[in-house]
Amino acid sequence: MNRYLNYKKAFGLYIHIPFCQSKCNYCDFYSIKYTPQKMREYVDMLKKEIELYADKLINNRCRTIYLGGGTPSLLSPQLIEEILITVFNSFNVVENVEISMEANPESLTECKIKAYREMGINRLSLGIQSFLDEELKFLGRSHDVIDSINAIIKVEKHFDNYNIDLIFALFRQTFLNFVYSLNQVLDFNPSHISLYKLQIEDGTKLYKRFKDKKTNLISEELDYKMYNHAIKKLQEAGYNHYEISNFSRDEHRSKHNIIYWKYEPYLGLGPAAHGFNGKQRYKNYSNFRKYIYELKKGRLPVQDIIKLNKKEMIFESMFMGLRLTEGIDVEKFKSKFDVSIFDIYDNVLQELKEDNLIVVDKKRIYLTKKGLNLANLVFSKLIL
Amino acid sequence: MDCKQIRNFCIIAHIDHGKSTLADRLLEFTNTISDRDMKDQVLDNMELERERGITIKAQAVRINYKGYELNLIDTPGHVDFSYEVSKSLAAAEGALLVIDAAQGIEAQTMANIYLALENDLEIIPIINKIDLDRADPKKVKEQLLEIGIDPDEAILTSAKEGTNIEDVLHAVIKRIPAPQDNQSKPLRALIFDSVYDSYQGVIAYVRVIDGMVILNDQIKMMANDKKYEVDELGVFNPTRSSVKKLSTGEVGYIIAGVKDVKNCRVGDTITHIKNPAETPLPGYKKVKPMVYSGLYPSDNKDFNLLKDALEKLQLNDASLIFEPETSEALGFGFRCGFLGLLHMEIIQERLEREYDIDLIITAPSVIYKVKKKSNELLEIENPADFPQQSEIKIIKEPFVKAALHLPEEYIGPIMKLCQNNRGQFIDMQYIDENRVALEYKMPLSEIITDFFNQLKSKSRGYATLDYKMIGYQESDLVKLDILVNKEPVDALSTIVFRDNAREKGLTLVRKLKKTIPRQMFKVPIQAAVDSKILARVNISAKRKDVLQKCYGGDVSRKRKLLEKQKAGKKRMKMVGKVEIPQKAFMSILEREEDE
Repeated sequence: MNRYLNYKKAFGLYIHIPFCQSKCNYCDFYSIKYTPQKMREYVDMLKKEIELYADKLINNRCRTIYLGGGTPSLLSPQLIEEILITVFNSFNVVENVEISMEANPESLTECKIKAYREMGINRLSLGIQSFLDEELKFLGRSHDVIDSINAIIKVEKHFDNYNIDLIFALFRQTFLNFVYSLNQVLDFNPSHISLYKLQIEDGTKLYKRFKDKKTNLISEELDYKMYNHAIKKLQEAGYNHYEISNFSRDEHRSKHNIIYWKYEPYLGLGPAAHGFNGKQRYKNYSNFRKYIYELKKGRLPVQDIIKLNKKEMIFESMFMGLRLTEGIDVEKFKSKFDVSIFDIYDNVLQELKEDNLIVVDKKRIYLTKKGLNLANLVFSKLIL
Repeated sequence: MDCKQIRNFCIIAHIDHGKSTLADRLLEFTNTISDRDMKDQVLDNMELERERGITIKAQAVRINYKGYELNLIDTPGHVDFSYEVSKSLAAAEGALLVIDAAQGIEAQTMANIYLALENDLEIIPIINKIDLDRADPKKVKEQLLEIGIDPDEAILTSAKEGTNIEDVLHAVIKRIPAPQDNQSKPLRALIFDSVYDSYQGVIAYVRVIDGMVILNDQIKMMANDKKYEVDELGVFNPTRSSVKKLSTGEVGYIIAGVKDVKNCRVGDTITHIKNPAETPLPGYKKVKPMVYSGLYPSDNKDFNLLKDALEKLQLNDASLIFEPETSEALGFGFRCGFLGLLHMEIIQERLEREYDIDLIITAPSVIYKVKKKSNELLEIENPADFPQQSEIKIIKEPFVKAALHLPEEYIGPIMKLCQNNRGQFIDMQYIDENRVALEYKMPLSEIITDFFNQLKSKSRGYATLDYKMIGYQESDLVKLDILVNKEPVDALSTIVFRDNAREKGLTLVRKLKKTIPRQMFKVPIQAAVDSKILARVNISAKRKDVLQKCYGGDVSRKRKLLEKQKAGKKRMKMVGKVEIPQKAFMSILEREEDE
């Protein structure tokens, strides 16, 4: 048996829906233009992929389900339901499983929202990004602010657990414009907020436009001010800042995403999806046709298996784990890697502590406020 | 071969005038090299030579043509390597002087003509590149007349298109004298170059002046009496091919198990142990490096690698000298002496390319002569070694006479450039109605920084430069220190003219601000003379560096990004708590006066 199929623990399930109405200017995720025929064909193949895994996995316990994209909400509730039924029929899904789905305002109708909720999806993640039309245009989003507001109003009727995505550090964005959007989000008081700094990724439209500026469209000072203002404001409003970019009310953290940060296993389905069993990672073909072709031949559409040595795994688990504000559990680290974190990172931890970037106590290691802002510096010191 | 049938000649030219291309055509036309083996600039062996289109080492090739044996010695064109040129000239009886038909006579052309005349060589002027639209052979002929060479003797060629190559060969046979027939005299062979082969040891390029040398002969080096047996003799046509003997007038190579290049000095004379010659041939002046700079491995672990590499390079390049030195900022490295800036760049590139060593190079410096108040005399090649200003009585620095040739429309900006570099005007003459020769006296230290680049950019590449040392003179100089986070960084110290200290300090700290990345704390950068601060800028603290969006998916890619970031940091040097990138040390090499 292939080692990458050897899942010892229950996994989070990620299902990639690669369809979009149009590609956003900043997006480097794999997506293709949608047509009804392609979506039908795709769902059939996805079901096949699920069944192949059900066949091959010894341990098929599934802890969370996440439909990401792309734009999953472009799929009709019927198609989504077909996928989920196959998942439930094939895998051993835990009770009260978190089922998240990403959605864009322009693709949501109340009818759809209600259907998603009724079939069992219990968390929606909305790509809102900004409350200013000008900024949405800059990002190349296919909705405007009115669409967003209407979508949120309908979503909150049916979902008590939903997320709003917000992007900051846009070209020429002023501090007050950012504060405006942030306050709008707070007015809705969603259970979860993800706050991202705009990242100019290779190959995106923004990359072409801002090649020379590379990563920063606003000054480092303004970036710092926006991010830290948001942290303060959201904490005051009762949100728990649980990950560098994520905030939740009560216990509404994203269970699925926490799997990634805690370096636990996940299974990925769909073109360009990745999976990880705790020791090895695999990567699916990103080409849609190749993906379909492999499944039609009855093979898993796995393009590559990425083997990791222990040092790489330790480093990965460190930079993922430190993203959580609760940080890394010293005991769990030891039982996972059979070695004490203090033996491996002795001097480095001391140095980082002296620079006021991390806090080290007997139980856990986590980033300070300064460390959150300079996380990449911390991470690069932890490379083994 | 009878001496009457031998011709030894070299090709001299200003850089880029088509010397190597002409050599290629001569080899091609005479079938010395087949079309199949023909690649551009056959004689430029080093990858670097081909790429930069310059010749660094001399090369010698035997051409058999119409019963004659023509030995062609290719020479470097750049001012840094005029030493190499002079070595080659001593092995020949004639020289092809290649002049670009569009550019005309340049500073370096003149220098080469003087070298050829000093060596009593027959000069055949070749006006090359006549295929160019801008070619003006008539004007070049006028220039030749002006400098006392008979223009009617010039041959018009286009090496690129192969025009009139036969005429060149005929001129070589007809006009260049055959070597003197000294067959019966005791052996004297002049070593005009050498290369090192890791299997066979030193391969000496020789010109037999008197007598002959035969395989298995017992020979000795006249400079140090070291004795060897000839293992192999040969000629280049154009690759090595062995022969049984080399006789008077011939050019070839000798391999005699010489393991140390120091025992086979270029310029030395080889003779027999039995029946030796009485006196050696006149040797060459030993070249003294003019430019010094510190070479440090970016990664201190590479120190031994760098040492080995320098030793290997030295085997083929006697003009490179080095000795170990340490810098507080950069760790262990070498102070190296070079013939000039190009030489320095070439050594740097070869170290990085052929030996894969990441280097940090400090600003080039000349040798300063310092007289302390205690009357102690010091020769200082590293600014960091300068004594305290208060202990210094006088400082002397080397001056050169610089000859610049340029089209008249650039006189203004070039004169200004010379003045800004402390040049003192000596003379100006028209070479023809629109080309001018300028003469300046200048401190060498000004020439070795960014002068050449600026000269080229201010004249759109049309100005050319040659310079000659004229000796040491007193100057009002000070050591400019750079402090990063209040700590002096020895590797960034430079010696500057006192009146320019503030301005240079300001330029430097501004440059460093651009190249030193933000640190986690505020970093002041200061320029100081004698602990008096002349300029200061601050690099504000880094506040934010975080990948904001990171989930599952391709975590390995994110890991590799972080690893790459860290690898970039390896090229940084820690000075106190500050990470200074390599390019900060290098940035001070360039000077942009328009800032």
